[in-house]
Amino acid sequence: MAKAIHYEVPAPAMPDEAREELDKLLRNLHERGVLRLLNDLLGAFPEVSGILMRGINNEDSRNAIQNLSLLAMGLGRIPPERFATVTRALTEALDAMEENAGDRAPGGPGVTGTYRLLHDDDLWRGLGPLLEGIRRFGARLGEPEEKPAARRHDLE
Amino acid sequence: MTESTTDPNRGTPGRPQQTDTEQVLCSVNVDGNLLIGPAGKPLIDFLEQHRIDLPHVCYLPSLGPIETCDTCWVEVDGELQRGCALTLKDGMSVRIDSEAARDARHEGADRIVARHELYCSVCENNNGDCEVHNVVERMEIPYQRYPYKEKPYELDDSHPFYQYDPDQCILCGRCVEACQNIQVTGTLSIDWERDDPRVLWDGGEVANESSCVSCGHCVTVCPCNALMEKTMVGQAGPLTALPESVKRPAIDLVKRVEPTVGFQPIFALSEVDAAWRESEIKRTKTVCTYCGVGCAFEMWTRDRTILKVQPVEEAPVNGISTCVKGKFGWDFVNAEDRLTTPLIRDNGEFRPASWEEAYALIARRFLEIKEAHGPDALSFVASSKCTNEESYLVQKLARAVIGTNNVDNCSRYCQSPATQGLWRTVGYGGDEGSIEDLEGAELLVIVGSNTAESHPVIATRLKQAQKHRGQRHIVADLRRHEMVERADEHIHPRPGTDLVWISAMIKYILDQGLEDRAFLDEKVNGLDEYLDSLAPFTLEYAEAETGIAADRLADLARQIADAGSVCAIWAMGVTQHVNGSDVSTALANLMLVTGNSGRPNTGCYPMRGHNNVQGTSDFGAMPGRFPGYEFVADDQVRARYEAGWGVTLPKEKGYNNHTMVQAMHDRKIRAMYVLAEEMALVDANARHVQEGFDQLDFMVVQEIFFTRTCEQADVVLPGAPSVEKEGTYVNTERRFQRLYEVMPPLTGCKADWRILTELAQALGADWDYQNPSEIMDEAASLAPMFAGVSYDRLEGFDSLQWPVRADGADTPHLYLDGYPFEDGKARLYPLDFHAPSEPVNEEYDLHVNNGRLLETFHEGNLTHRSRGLRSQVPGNFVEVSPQLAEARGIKTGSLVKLISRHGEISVHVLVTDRVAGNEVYVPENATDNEHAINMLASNHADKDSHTPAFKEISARLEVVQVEGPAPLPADNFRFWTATPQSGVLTERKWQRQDYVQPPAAARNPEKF
Repeated sequence: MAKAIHYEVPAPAMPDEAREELDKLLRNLHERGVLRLLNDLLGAFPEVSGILMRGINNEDSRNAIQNLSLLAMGLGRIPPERFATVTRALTEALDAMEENAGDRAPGGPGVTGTYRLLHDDDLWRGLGPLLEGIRRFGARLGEPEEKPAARRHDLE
Repeated sequence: MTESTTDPNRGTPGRPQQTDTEQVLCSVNVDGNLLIGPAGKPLIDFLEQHRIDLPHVCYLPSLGPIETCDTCWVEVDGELQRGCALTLKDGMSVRIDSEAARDARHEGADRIVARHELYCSVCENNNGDCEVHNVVERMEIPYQRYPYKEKPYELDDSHPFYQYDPDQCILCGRCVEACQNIQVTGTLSIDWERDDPRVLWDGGEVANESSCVSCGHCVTVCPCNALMEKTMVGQAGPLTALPESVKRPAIDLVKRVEPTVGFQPIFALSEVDAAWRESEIKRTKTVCTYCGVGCAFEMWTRDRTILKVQPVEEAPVNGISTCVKGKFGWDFVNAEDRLTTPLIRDNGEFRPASWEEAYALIARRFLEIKEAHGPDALSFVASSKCTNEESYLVQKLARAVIGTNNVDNCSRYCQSPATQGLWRTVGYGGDEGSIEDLEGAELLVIVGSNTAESHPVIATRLKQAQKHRGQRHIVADLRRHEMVERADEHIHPRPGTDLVWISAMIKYILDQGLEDRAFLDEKVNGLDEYLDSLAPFTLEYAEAETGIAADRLADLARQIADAGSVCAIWAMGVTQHVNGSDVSTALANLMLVTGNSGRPNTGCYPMRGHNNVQGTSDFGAMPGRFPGYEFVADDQVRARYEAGWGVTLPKEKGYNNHTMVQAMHDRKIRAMYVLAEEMALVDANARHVQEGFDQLDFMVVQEIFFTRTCEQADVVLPGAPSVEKEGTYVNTERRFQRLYEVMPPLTGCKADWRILTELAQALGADWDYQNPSEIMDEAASLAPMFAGVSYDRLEGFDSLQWPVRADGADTPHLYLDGYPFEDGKARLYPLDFHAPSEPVNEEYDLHVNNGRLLETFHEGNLTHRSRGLRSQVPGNFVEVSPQLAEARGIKTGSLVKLISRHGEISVHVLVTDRVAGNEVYVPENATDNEHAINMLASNHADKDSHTPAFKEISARLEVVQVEGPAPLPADNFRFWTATPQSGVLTERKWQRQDYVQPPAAARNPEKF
């Protein structure tokens, strides 16, 4: 005779989610061959690290690292909208160059043509900023070489 | 203003009604290419078939054209038109690639991103199916042309199941269209006249303070993250879990960079994120485990976390529809009190045990009892929650391994009378046609069915038919539920008198010559004898018995006779009476007399209550029938099964669920195996049932929770819910659908088919099923009704409606070629009226009606474990009419006792005009003896099917305490008034002074 009896279902042990995530990560790393790669790498660490350091620690690599950094810092000083204007202008200039490159050589402008060019306002409006840019660019090239970080410090 | 194909004064129908046979082909020129397609087909669907991309956001085939998003412009005959509103016409010339159309589409897309902040990588909706993301990306919108601006509204997370973020809402109106015209509740709207339009709930800004029934349609169709399931929030992707304090600055950072780099890199990142999520999120097709509608959908999970339920348009029954339980009621799967180990009763308490020990004990005790008292001393109860394959195994275990036909299922508590009524008259114990037939009928006669709460997704289809196509509903019910509120005609007969008014209408129809004489002559037998039996059922007699005026009945009878096509729908309000089979038969008689059978959009449709209550009977968990309803007493049939199973089988019909109880009391049944049924509370006269269990020598219960029935067990076995196994269900329209394993069984649990297999092995049987498909193959090989059923034919969202021939041809409508009787004719079945049991008298002066609630399922063992569902209906209660409340000096919140001849319960009062006079209503919403309605029910049962007369309860009311807490929270949808309208009312958007038609630049693109 089975009389009713109550039973409190015990709360389940909390699943170890971190452990499950870790297991999953391990499985994925294994299945994608990443673990093998890392194991191989670690196994050969003394040799590989020596090769890497020799590769990095030479004049060319040091220059590359510094120049990339300079480029990044330079880009950081340019407001995006200004840079967008420059890249757009550059794209259009390249397009124009490409279009004209295919044309048959038109020959020299001649005296009359040269005279007309001297009075072409559009041309001088275009060349003006370019010439000013070249002027400043030349002046800056004439300054003594220095590390950019130092220069930034001086400016501050 | 462009011409629209939609009439603003009526709703847009969801599913197109056009059939293939009606299609006329036409030729259409698209950008210079001549294409052929069916006239009337929506242009966007047609273009998609030809892999031509016409961008669109607000259009969804299930919703039809809404015309809000302005991204689908095309040129037709030189004029710009919204492509979503166009349908194919012969000679139509469409330009998608014209500059004007392209500019207009881009202007539309620019406006959308002006009111939706694209932060895809940290957005819960970035799962590859975000339509805003996909359209903006596919259209190659380069950058944010109109600046995004926040709206002057806060995110609304008041609702228990979803949140609404006005800042992300593009005002496409999909949610409104779904609420107004698919769900047809009419809660959501957009106030286009506001300075900053937004979605509103009954005109207010708080979702949870509204008539919202939480069906989830709005969330399902939202094309972005404006409406989002709370289960997704912070869970969907690797970056969505970031705290807002990190997320917001991260979004701001990206938004500062975005004007420079444009959308392209942002989209690239989001693509990476979506692909990243893809490896984690699993989408599995499953079938709902609640009512008998059979909604199928994809369940999104990450490991065991259920992220959301996502319905899909190709689901054969529900399409994009769900109800609150199917969409949001799945917390029970990961409930902390899941059983995870077998339990054995030992010295007056339960102790955990191994599977081997449990199997060995069950086998030993079953065989001992069989040896001592014979095989009929054991009985088996299959589960309407479990699969067809598991039901098949339960009856095979009973018959082939133990040797008894004492096997049944809970259809004995609900729809056995309906089956009986259909067997008597039309032949098959199932719905005559499909849900589509119900939709297509001109008139529905709905008796004792609270369809909107018990079968919500079927109700949405019926409400659509009523709203969009003028279908008429005659509803007979004691209680003023939603179907009554919406009825064209409502009658309220006295309890238990349905047979009288139905028979009186039939007699009137025949007396007046309104019957379908040709149909009766050609397709129906037994008219003369039936006519004789109708003699007592005059309209005057009916008026006296039922309280419905004679001329009202005559009018209704004429409406039914005059209608071109009629379907009868009924549920527990009909079947759970002492004459349940007879009333079911009477409804079938009514359909036959009026010629409403044997053709589309007609017939009888008893609403099956549980997800697989149809399939559990279909697969032989019945005391007198094998799978496919063949009789165990039939020597030929039995011989087939004996050959198939390699055993000798018993031929005597066994005990059913109801008669088993008395047999326990009489010590004729000594042992019982109950699979996933809360029999201790869901059978009538629950105390009597529990005392019957007390008499057993040995009892096994296979369950997922420790229920009241488990308390009686000697061994409890931890089974698995539907999402942890494979199998098939059969819904109320006889439709097989396959469910796939969403996640493996919880550690310690096993799929029920596997438990049954291993138990049979412990009992010495040579069962070796490795997959449920093998079980189905075996059943199909033995039961002609399912000959062509196979898992291959049920792949994905494919489905089959029985009978299924060996070649796979199924039967959406049962009787188009005649009835399954010898001469192919249906039968009219004569009936007498038997008065209901447990009449109201001076001592027991209240009639206690009972049934389901939308938010809970049956007794509540599953739904009570959902925090959201429980927040809407925290406990059980009794609905009391204002008149009765006044007479007894009680009010909402009062604690009362209801005392019947058989037991008593204590419940709080809800005063409502859903009930009238001395009729009260108690939901089946309780899992303990103190509140469960069946403590009040009697042992009376339907005389033909033994279904308990659950609906025949009378009781007296004693006031325990006048002051008390209201049983339902103030934000329950029942207390709010919906705001139905024809649809999104997009024309109001166009009528705004600041609306300009694309491609002209918008004045306030961020506002609407």
